[in-house]
Amino acid sequence: MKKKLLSYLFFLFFVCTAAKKTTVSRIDQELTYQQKIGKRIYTKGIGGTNIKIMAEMSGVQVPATIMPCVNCHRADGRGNPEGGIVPSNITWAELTKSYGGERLDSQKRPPYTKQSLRKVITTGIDPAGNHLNTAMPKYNMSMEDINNLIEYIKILDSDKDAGLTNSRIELGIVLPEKRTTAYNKNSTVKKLVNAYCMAINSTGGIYNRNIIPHFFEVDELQNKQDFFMILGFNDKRITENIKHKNIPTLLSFSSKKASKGLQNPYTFYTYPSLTAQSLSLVDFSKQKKIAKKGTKATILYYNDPIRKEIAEEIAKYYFKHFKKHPNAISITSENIIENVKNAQIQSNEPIYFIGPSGLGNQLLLTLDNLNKSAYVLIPGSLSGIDIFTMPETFKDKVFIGYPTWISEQTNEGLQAYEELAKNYNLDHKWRRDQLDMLSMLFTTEECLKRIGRNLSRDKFIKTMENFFEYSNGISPSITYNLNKRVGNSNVYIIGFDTAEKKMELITTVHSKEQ
Amino acid sequence: MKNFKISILLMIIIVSQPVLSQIAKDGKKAACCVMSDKGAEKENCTQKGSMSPDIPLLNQYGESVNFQDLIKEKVVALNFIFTSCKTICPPMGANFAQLKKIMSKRVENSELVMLTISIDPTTDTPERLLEWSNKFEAGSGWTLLTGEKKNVNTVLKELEVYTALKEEHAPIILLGKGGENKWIRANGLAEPKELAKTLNTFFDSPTLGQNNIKEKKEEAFNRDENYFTNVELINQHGDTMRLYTDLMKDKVVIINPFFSECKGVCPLMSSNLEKIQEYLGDRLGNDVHIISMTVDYKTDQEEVLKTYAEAYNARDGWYFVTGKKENIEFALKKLGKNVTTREGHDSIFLIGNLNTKLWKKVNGLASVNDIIAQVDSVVNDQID
Ligand code: HEC
Repeated sequence: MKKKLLSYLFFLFFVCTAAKKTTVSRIDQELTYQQKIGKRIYTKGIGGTNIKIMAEMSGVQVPATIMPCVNCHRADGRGNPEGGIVPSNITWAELTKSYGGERLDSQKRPPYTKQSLRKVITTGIDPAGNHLNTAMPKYNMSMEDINNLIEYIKILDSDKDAGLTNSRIELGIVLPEKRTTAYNKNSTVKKLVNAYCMAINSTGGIYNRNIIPHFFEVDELQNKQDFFMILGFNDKRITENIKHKNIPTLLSFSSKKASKGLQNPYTFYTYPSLTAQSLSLVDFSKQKKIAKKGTKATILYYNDPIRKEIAEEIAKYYFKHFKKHPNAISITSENIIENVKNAQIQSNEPIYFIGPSGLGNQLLLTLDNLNKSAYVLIPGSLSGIDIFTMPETFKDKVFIGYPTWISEQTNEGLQAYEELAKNYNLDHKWRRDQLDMLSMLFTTEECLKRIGRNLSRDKFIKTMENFFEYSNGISPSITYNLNKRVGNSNVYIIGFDTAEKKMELITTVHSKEQ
Repeated sequence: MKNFKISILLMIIIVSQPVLSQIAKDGKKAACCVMSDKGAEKENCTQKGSMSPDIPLLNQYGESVNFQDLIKEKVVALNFIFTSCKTICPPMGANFAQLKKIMSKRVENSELVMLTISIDPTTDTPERLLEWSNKFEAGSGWTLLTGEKKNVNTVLKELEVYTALKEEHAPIILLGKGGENKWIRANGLAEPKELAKTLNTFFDSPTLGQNNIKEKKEEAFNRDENYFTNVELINQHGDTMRLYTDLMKDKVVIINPFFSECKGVCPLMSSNLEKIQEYLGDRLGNDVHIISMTVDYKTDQEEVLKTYAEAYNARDGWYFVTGKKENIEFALKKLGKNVTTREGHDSIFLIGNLNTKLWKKVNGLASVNDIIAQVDSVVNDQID
């Protein structure tokens, strides 16, 4: 008992110190130069000399980049059978077993040596003199490269992705704010993540690996690569900063339209992009018959890069549907009254409001004074309104689109949060951000558990791609596949009941990233 | 005891399943078209009648295309992939691109269309297909198709290449003439050179693979002997047999390539042939010959062939033939079965009626019932 307690304490200490450090030392075993080149040949078909590696099969020569070893033999060397073709297990132990090996068609062969391995890769003839199945290409590469490749095959079995050891998974967490802002969102999120990691590590981690979080701002991301994976909120510059590093990344949502698996296989989102969320309000306008062909509309936006771009997207999309260009007006707290007056807004016309949350009620007041009760549609992730001080006339006229809603949260999900909050003294503010982060942690945990002990980044991506209607109790159910990188595309349209003074779910709109 | 009964019952159900589905297929008159030559015509299911006329699909540029329009009156090479397939699809793509290169004149003249159909249309958007094909730098003249799952599946089923699990799809390539629905199934990983040879037969009108034309029948009679010749081969008993006179003349022949050390498709073909032998009964030897030709004459000398033949209980009339290098190679070439490496042989049964000149090419790995149906149609063929 005492021992257990001690080790638990040790854990806590360990996790806390690890979490405090901002720079991470290289955690995975360092590959030698030869092994690194070998790995690139194995996984990408690109060598270290200026002799281009070619693969030959049934008399056809193609660049090895089309058929790198990893395609058929898999990252772990154990083979990826398809259509009756079974690529051999080519881990070093298997190739060099003293009593030899047996392949697909039960042809026996003696153990490989470095020399006979060079021969089989370049000629397709094994040490027993047998021809391999024609599905195994013959490779033409420089002597240096083939030696590099063999150096890598030797350690193939023990080679792990960066940020992964037998006892740890290093998790990079991109904080939501700049350090200079003082809302304490960062520290709240940090507390939550630390609490979660402590809780899970205290019960043995995931398949005996501890989850070790590292926190940093998006600008610090570029020179980090030793995380197994990364979690973050908005993709603002995250994906850009880790491009080509092949690190699995799970984010709440992207600001521009979310990329598909083809463009970026590494990034997954929980919710639709800000753009898709906003455009759903136009779809909703159509459904609810707020707008039809020719209806005049106004877009009020705050002139920052993200909001401006979204205003433009809404304008385009609105025109596509209703053949009328909306009037797009930028607003600030100084000019909002003036600009709304001049905008000639009529009752029952739609207004898409993407200004700062603080100005929402100002807008309604102004409209009320002008006696114009227009429809006001608001993307909740960008903007907002205080329902309690809203003028009576806007009952049934204000709609907010959110990427999730309380109806999607289960008791278990919320309880899990409350328990963490209680046990680890979490902050009460920034609840939505905390829940979004917890949702991502749960999704990650689920994926790691589905994979099991034999973990790799590659498997992480593949396993995520098989998520189908997975519910973590906090976010709407999540489905990913080879193309789909947005877990759930629903946008929840929320209306207000001013009499009851509560929000209610009006409908959900299936948002489109395209 | 009870368990035993149940399992017998189960077995009956399982066994009768394929038979049932066979009937269903025939009822649709689709199966008869595939792989058959003259049979197709006889059973009145050539041309558009046999295949749903309008199957809208999307090409790699996202444009709507109609499958039938694409292949109408063209010679067609058609293969099947999905973009997330790692082991067999990139090699098939590379082979296909090479085949296109070899056949570039025909492609440029729009006599030959090169098509690839995705068997995972839900994932494979046009964008994905375009990206995938760009890797092979094959240039224009190669159309990749996807579309609504149900449409794609309709095409796949009618071409008889549908598999429920995409991971189980075999590396198949279909070669044929569009609108006629007579497809030759070849191994999509076979040498493009060999595939090109087969494709050329659709342009060159040789004896094999062609419908006979009534008026030319007399002449064709002698042409056969001229064509096949009496090159001397040796069977598993050590007897010398002349290709045309001893093995083929007046017979229905079922011919397949094989070699005794082949552990992949050959045992499957041979055990199919064993069952066909059983089905043929007395007709074997009298009306029908089965001729298994080795593509590895070095290893497969008469002793080896004898042992091999015994393993499949081969009776008189099923000949395993080898011969002098130049002889066996000549014979293989005449039958379109010549290869550069022994592994390169196909798994297609050539079934021919030397009296009526009807020839069919049948997938030797298909279910026995399917093959027997084809054998029957050739045996029962009449001169009209
Ligand atoms: C297109 C698929 C494919 C690719 C790409 C591929 N292989 Fe193979 N490989 C196979 C198949 C299939 C076999 C089994 C052959 C057999 O059973 O005859 C095999 C067998 C082998 C063997 C023999 C194993 C044994 O037990 O005899 C070695 C070694 C090997 N591959 C190494 C490599 C290396 C190194 C690369 C990359 C440079 C590579 N392979 C790329 C499909 C592939």
